[in-house]
Amino acid sequence: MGFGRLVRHDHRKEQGEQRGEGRSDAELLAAHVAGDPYAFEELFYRHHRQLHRVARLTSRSAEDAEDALQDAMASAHRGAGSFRQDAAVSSWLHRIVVNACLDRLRRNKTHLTIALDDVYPVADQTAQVETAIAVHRALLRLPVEQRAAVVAVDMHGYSVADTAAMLGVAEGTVKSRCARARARLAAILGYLETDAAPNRPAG
Amino acid sequence: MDGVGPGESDQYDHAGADPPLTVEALADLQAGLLDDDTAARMRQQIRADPDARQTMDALNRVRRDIAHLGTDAASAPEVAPEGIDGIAAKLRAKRPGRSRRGAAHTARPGRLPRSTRLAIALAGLAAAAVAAWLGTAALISPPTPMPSRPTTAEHITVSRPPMMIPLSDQQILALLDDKPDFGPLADPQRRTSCLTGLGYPANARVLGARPVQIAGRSAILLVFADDTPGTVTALAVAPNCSSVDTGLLADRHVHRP
Repeated sequence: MGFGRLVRHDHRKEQGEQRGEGRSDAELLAAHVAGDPYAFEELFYRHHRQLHRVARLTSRSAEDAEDALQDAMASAHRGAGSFRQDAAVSSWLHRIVVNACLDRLRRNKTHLTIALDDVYPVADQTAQVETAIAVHRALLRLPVEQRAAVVAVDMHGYSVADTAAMLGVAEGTVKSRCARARARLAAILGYLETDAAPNRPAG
Repeated sequence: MDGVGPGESDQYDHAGADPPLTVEALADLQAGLLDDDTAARMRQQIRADPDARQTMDALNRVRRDIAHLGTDAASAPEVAPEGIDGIAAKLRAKRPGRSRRGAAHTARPGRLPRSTRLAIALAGLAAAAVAAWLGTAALISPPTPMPSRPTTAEHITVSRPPMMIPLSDQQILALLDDKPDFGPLADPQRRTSCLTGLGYPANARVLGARPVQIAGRSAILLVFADDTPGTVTALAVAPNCSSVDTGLLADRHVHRP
């Protein structure tokens, strides 16, 4: 059954690619605004893996990520007419996703994450996999609050002030979360594995 | 500042005392958590300490890695088709005039009991008979004379006024000289959310703003620099504009003389 779904999914994706063949992101978005009923879906399929990753990294759980991604795409679908051409379409989509996730985290911030709620096996595979995949997995080992802070600040270039405003926390808290996240990532990724590391955190 | 424990703070506060160059302390320095004096002292120490420099390099490498992850499409993991198809299906459902298989009107309800189906059929027949009788009676009876009444404004269907920004170009440009009045969007958090919904970066500069009424609806007019030099873009959004729904009502490009 799962295989059947996958086949249908890929088939539709191929159909979408044929329809959207040769069209840039901006052209697809313009076509959507002009009434092309398939253009936005094609745009979504084109970027869905990256958008899903960003949503997952900025969300507490996989379910939250899917809900946030769905909200974000609905928002982008509605608001496409107001898109300004001074930003890349993909950046615009990413920002809407990050925003939707941060909104969700702010609304649910009473649910403090005490333990690591997403512990994925990273082990010693770092050397065998691409750095990006290792970084992705390492990020998922952080508490969601730290993860969201570095995704907003380091991945998407939000200012500390903007991130703090969107998460409803103090700027110092964002800085602190970023600091903890980076120190822990450096350890998880093995970047401190040298005599140079004066105080390696357990990790 | 939960990145600096009480013990560490005490160490930083002692003028002249060297804070230990732990990875945590260096990360605090990198994140801008330390006061200027402590930061300056630490930087001086780092310059003289190759190990600390290496740790700083590691922290900078982490930041570069995270930034790279945002642009690296190839490493993004495959997504379970269920989730993605679900979102795509919802987007599809938003299309105007959709006619796709699986639409709600094609849903087949479960089979009803025979007695229920019979009752529904009889009710349908009865309704048809009543309709036929009423229709026939209306056709064969003479019409009641109606007084001819002059058409008044009350009888004219009111067409919806156009969604236009109710300000002249000069009035929009004048907003650039005034302090922006964001109205309900004065809250930076809401404004940031709205800007993102409009496709602007969260730190985009709003050149002017004021509440307006458009076709009887409240709106906030936001003025931004346009892509074209010497031009500004005015966007009228709903007072509850957010990243999820901007409620964009009207927009206009205005040339700056």
